[in-house]
Amino acid sequence: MRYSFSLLTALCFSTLFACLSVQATQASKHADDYTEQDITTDRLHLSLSVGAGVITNPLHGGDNIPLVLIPQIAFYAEQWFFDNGRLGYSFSQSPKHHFNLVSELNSESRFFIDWHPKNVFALQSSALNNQFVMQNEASSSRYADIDNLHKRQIALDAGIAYHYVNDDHVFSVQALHDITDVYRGVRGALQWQYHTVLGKLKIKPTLGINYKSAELNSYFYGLNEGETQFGKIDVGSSWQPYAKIDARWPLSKADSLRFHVAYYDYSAMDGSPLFERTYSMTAFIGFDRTF
Amino acid sequence: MKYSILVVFITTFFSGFSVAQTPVFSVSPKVCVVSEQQDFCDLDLQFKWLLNTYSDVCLYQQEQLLQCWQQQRSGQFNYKARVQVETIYSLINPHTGVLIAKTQVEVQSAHAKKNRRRLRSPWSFF
Repeated sequence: MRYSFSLLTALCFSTLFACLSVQATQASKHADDYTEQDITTDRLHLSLSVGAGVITNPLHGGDNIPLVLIPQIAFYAEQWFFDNGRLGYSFSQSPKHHFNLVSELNSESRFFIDWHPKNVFALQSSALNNQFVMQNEASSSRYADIDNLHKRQIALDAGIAYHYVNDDHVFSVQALHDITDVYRGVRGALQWQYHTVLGKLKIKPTLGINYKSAELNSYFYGLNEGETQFGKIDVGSSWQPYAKIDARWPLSKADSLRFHVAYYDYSAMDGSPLFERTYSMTAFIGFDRTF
Repeated sequence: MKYSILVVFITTFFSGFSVAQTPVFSVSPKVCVVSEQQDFCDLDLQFKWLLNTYSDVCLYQQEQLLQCWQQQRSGQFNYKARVQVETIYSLINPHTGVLIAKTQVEVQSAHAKKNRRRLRSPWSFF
């Protein structure tokens, strides 16, 4: 799976850079053509991405998350909005400043869901190997396999989000709190996103950093008393940088090719016995249709 | 003699202005009004032009060549077009590629759509 992910990442990057190099000589900016930053209100926006992709799981025994069919749903009213899982209310909107109350499901539990293909296809899986990892090596190194842990519940977070728009640059700040009493902590994020066009290719590079409180990290990535032989392990708060590139090559008004690559750093989580790798990566290449 | 020199001078002076006159190029109708039910217009476009000198000209719809004419100073041309977005029509000298004149058909919406800022990027979850 790791090799197929590397191949997919290489394919995404090479396709992206091939497009960029072809367009480099005639690179020009058509800001008027690039309307993805705005959305029509009082209308349901549906689109579906079909392709090949994966989110790598950094946890011991965790299955990578396959990305094959990805529906996207958005609806914006004058002040309320729902956008791909985020429900929000904009209490102040101007061309440059947007203040919002937002609520969304916490995505940390995605690494604890059993995404393994054995549940979908009758293929021989590597899940058995995962069962042995802890038994064979537990004596020499302190790590835990997520297959042996209690279930991590899905939490609902709510908080505030602020966006500052300067032409094609968007700076975002958000702070959210668990309102379902699952992990009883907070999380925040700072993000910069740039919207640009190279010929026909529409590109959005993103850089950001996530803050996760000790309560969040301990609930999802720590250990409870009696959960394993290691006893209770708490994990401190963390700052986790990330970088993404999202690119879209329009084929028609409704169809486009989509490339997406993301890197999430988890090196600040070295206090957790659950992590096998210090990062998670996302790669996707596919076809996008807007309905 | 003195007056004839003055007349020649004045004639030469004003003839300079007539050379600098800009070519006239127009299209009718100039506006396509789209609706929610039909997001395009089928238009019978009529082009008219008047140039400064006799020359070869070609008419382009955006990058697409529609027709060329040889050694004409003025002309008229009818063309059926399906217009969906703002479209630019150009008169270009086929030998030099120089743009002589251009005009455009604008697209307006009968149903005023309201837009607002999208506050979450598609794929932000990933």
